[in-house]
Formats: sequence, structure tokens, C-alpha cells
Amino acid sequence: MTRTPKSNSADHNSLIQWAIQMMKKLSGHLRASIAQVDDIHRQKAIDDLEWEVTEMKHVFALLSAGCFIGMPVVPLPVTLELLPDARQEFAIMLSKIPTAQSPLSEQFSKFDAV
Amino acid sequence: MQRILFFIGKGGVGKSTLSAVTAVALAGQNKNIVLTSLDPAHNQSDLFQIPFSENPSTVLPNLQVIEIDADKWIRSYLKRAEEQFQAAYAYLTTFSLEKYFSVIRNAPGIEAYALMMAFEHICKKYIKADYLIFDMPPTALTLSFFALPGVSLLWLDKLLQLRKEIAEKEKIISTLRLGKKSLERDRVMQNINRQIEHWSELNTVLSADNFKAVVVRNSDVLSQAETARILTRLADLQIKSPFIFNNKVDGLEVGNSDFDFCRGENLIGLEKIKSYCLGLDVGRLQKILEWNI
Repeated sequence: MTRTPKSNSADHNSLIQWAIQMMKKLSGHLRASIAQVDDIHRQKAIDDLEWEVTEMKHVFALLSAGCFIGMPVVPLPVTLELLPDARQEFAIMLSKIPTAQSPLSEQFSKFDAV
Repeated sequence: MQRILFFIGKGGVGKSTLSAVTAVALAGQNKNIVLTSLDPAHNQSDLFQIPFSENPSTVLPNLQVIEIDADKWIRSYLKRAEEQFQAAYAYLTTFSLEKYFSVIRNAPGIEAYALMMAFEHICKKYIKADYLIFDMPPTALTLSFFALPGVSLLWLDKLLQLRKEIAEKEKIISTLRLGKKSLERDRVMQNINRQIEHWSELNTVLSADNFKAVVVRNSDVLSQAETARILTRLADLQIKSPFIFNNKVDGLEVGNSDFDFCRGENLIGLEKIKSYCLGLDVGRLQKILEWNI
């Protein structure tokens, strides 16, 4: 059976259609992969930044209210004036009291969450 | 313009006596004077033989004398702090506030801060006086008092820098999470900025041209040595060109001073102080104390 020019053209078109669909699927998969990778990296960046901010807040709490756990640093009047607005910092200081004598155990306890 | 004088020096050199004599002498020149004792171990009541208190007593028509009750200032400050604390931390019922605030009463820096609050109060209340004369405690507490604004500002600046870094990173986190910056107010940063403004105002007063420290010294070796240390420390604190008054001078050479006060016998009571002033070169004293501003 010989192929007529018309049937050759139809095959060619369906091939192109198939290629276009494949390309669309592929680009869809690629976009999804890139979005996933972006999400992972974004989440990692957020986690790193949040850890950094947490540590900076700990330092701030220690500097501003360390006198309540025996670390006189900032002049006490500065601390007392700050305290009504620094609830989070004060809560951090209070939470540090139980582990103040054993910082290693606090570090190891982080593995529990993992 | 109002002038502010702080009489400072080693214990027993005659700060209270000279601040009283200066106050009476200037009042005799028709100047409006407020003499305040910031020394917790007050002597003005003993000198004038009049009981003084936080309420001003009119000793002469243009001379009022006050003795600050440092304990009262500390108590009222801690009460205010405790009330603010209780309001903010109402959920911390297991945290014993009383225990902490009774300890804080004796913590380093609190007494100097109480004197600073009293000083601020006097400056605001008596803005029309020609002279505010302060009889200061012995050296250690006085130098803590002068250092307090500078030290507080140093720490507040560090805290503010750290807080700004925290705020920047939180903005980035918020942008990453939500795609937009959150606009939550940082109350701690606002608090720090308020404190910076307050301490800067006090620092400005203590470094203004109308403020002078008057260092009182005697001829003995210990007084001379302590005076040298005081002058070094004042220079470190950038307190400009203090006056030096020699007291209990017996005609012996004690070194350069702005004014010499000879030894006075039994300067107890207003009449004795007035009589002593008659023997002073009050015109020269007044000229010195009207320095160019």
C-alpha cells in the first residue's frame, strides 16, 4: 500500500502534536521539579534564618535581662525599663534556668526532636 | 541662664559646708538659690540646725534647701517597675516578684539611678532658680552618678544595633514565607529608643555649659591624692573644667585653686554661716560662679 501525500501529512501532524504534548508534559514536570527544589531551598533558608534569629534573641535576652540569672551586664535600670515590653526575652531567660548549669544536655536534647 | 553646681570630693573635706556657705553667699547677692543634698548621709540639717526633707524649706527669702530621701525614690521607682511588671507578666503566677524586687533594691546602680531621678525632678521643678547647688555623696557614688547616662547609652546603643539586626532578619523570613513584609511593631525597639532619648537628655544636661563640678579638697595628702583621681575620672567622663575649691586653708600653700576657704570654727547654724560669709570675698566668689556660658 502506497502512502498518499495526504496520509504522510496527517502522520507528520500527529507526530508534531505528540511531540508538543510530550514537551508540555516535560516542561510541566520540569517546572514542578524546579518549584520543589525552590521550596526545599527556601525552607532551608528560612530554617537557617530562624535559627539565627532565635540565637540572636537569646543573646539579646542574656544581655538585657541576664541579671535575673546571675549575669550582671546592662545597668539594671535599663533592664527594668525594658522588661514590660520584653516578655518574650524574659520568658527565654526563665526557660534557660533549668539548663543553665548543663548546656551540653540542652544541645543533646535537640536531637530528640530529630 | 540657670547654673548648676555639684559639690564633690573625698568624705569629710567639707562639701556640705562649702555648698551651704556658697548657697548663703549667693543668696545674699539676691540670687535665687535651691540647695539640694543628694548625699544619703545628709548633713545640711546638722549645718543649718533646721530639719530638712523632700519638701523645700525656705531658709532665706531666696534660698530653699531640700534633702532628698534616696530610699523613697528607690521604693517608688521599684513600685512602679513592679506594677508594670505585674501588668505585663500576669500569667507568671509562679514567679515570685517580691523576692526579686527586694534583692534589686540593693543591686549595684540602683542608688545612683535613684539620685539621678531626684536630680531630674529638681531640675524640672526649679527651672526658674538662678543656681541649683547639689551637695553630693562621697566620691564613689558621685562618680557612678555621673557615669550612669554614658554607660546606659553605650549599652542601649549595642542593644539597639542587635535588635535592628533581628528585625531585618525577621523581615526577610516574613518575605520568604508570605511573599510580603509583615508590619508588626517591635515594642522592644520602641522601648530602647525611648530610653535612648531619656538618657541623651540627661547626658546633655551633664555636659552643658551651665553645669560645673566643684571639687572640694583639703591640704592633707589623702585629699590631694583623691582629688587627682577625681579630676582624672571627670576628664574621662568628659565633664569639663571643674572648679577647685580649697577648704580648711590655714594659710598653707595647697596648690592652684579657683577659691580658698579658710578654716571656720564651729560653722553650725544659719547665723554662724552668715557671719562666715561676711569674711569671704563674696564678689570674687560670685564672679567665679558666673562663668561664661
